[in-house]
Amino acid sequence: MEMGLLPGTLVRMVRRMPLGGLVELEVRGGHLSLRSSEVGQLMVELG
Amino acid sequence: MNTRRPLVALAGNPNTGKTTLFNRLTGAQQKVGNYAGVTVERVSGLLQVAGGHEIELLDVPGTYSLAAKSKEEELALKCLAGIGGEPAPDAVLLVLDATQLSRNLYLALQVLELRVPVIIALNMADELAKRGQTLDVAALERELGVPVVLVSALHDHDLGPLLARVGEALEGRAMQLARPQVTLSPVLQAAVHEVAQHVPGEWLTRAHTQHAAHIEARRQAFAAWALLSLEERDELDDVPGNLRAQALRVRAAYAAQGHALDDELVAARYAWIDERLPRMVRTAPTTKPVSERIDSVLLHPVLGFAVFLLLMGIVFQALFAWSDPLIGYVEAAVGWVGDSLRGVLAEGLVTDFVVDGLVAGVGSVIVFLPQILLLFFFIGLMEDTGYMARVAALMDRVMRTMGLSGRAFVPMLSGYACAVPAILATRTMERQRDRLLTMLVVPLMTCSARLPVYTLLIGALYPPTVVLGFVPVQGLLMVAMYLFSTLVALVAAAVLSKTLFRGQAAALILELPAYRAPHWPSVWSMMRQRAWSFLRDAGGVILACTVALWFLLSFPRHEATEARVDQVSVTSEAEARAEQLADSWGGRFGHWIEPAIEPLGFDWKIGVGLVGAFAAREVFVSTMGVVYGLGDADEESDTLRATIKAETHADGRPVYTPLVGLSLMVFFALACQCMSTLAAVKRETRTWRWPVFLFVYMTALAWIASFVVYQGGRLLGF
Repeated sequence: MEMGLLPGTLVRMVRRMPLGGLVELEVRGGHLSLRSSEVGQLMVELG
Repeated sequence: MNTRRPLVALAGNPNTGKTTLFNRLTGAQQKVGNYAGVTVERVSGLLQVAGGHEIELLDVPGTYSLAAKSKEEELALKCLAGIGGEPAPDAVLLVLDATQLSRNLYLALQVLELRVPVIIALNMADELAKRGQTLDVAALERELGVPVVLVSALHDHDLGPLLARVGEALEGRAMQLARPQVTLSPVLQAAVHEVAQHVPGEWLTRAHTQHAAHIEARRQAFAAWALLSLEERDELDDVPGNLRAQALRVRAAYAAQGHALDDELVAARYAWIDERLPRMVRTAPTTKPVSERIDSVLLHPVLGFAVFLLLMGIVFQALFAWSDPLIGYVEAAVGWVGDSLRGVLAEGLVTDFVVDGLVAGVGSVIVFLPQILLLFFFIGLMEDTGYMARVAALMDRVMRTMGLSGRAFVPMLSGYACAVPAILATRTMERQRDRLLTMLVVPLMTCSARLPVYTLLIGALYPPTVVLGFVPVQGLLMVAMYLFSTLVALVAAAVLSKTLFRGQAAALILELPAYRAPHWPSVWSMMRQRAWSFLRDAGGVILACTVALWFLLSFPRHEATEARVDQVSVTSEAEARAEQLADSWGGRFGHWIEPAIEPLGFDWKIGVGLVGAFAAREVFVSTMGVVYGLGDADEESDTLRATIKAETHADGRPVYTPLVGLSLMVFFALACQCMSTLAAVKRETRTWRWPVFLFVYMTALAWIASFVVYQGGRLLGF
């Protein structure tokens, strides 16, 4: 949340990291990596 | 103006160039200390600002939020708010990354709520232009109500205007009243109000918050902070019990009505940002940022790993091999000083003390410098360019299964060369929990000081035969020892993270900052700081231990020995040294612990070797040389190997069987036979608690494992 990942925030999936486990997202102009299990908790609307 | 030197706190998100700016502003005038009771370093520096003030600039730990979930975030809050024993800053210099403004403003809003004089340094303004973006600085200044100065910490940008604004803020000329007001929903307002009465009064009154409106705003800010930060079990001390209880109660009450107060608070702040930022930043469509193109190689499933392995290989090679000649020079220099002193001073006890105790002690401290400097050169480079965040991301999956942070990889790898620089390297991890856990398992890695011991024992006790047609037994054993230590370290990490460090999961989100060219003065400053703080804080302990060990192994003086040393025969001198050692306190200690080590297959002479090895594991070899009356010997010495093979108990049984050798190697793999490691852990944790724990758990582990190996082997008939 505090990293700016909020309901309605525009997110771009950049890549899956090697070894699995992490994904890289672009959020608010910066790049974050999150565990796939966390990303699973995000509800994403495609558009 | 009071007579005290004004204190300015330098704050900001991680990866904003805050430390680079700090180094540029303070140059070499830095003072490194520690925050009370925690392992976080407190770095500050002196500089002149406009108006002739000399200020103390404090480098506050980088944080994304003041909602403290960890020790570092709590420290950031303490430094900025001036609570919990930290002096209140006269002004805050807040560094924001212009390219990451949205997330950076989140921290800015929290800092502004504290109603301290704030000056904003907007860094990487040049990057912004490269990305085809423009920023309306005047509008940003208006919205935030504080001065905003564009800087570029990395390039030779004039920092004069920034310092001028700091000077003005200190003189109260820029005393800012209009602060951004985040709109809170009625529910949030009510919740904040309920907690606000429990905010301790001493958190509110500060020199610059005499104004009633400021005090009230600050009270609200702390109430919001409590709602966002406090948990039943968190790492935060110094929080009044009633504030914590009230925050938890209010949060639970609203949760029952379907309101997640913490989420709503965060959302309210971001709503403020999202409403204004698009009006201030104009973006032109651009190509993919350079960073992303670099990452498509460095984070590529195949190429990325190849580069990663190559880079880690270079780091390891540097620590393991390239440092060797440098260490050789240090040792030669220390030897030369010792010999010169021996030549000048009269023969006797005082000279022995100076040369074998003091000079050798100083030598055993500075011998670590080459590896420390090399390791921090690479760490500084990886941190500064942004590659370290990628290492953490690449290794996250593997390390997490052991409960370790991805950033623990570099320290663990360094542990194969030497635990001391590896323990200092745990500092690259943000969280105290991750640092401690890594520190407690790194000494289990097979460091280079164990190699001479293994070489001696394997060479003396195992035949140079091959199995399976081509695999040499001796080499196989050496590899097995490496695998064994790695396995034990990983299992120990997994066990410790599920017991002692339970329930404190590692950070979930990692920032992957844009790649940047390294700022060499910052890299150098890190190397210098690490080396200096090691010398200052761990050096004393190591020196004292060396002198104490010298004393234990040289006293009481043997009368007959003194007389016999006068005879020049080399053999009798070696024998005299053996007698002297056997009769010393250390030798007697070896006898005394014999009942404890006998079940492991060791006799008292090995016990003496273990005492000597506490100085450093490889000293075991030379101590055994002296014990067996051979004088100086190294691990390749044929006489020492032959003596070991021929050594028998009183009843004629050989002391060293291959089984005893294995038991002894297992003991060396697991026991914390290294005072320098303990001194380094003491230095990093600032308490004797963790080094004592480390010593006890490793020694217990070693004893049990050796016992199982020796007794089990005997049962199996070896």
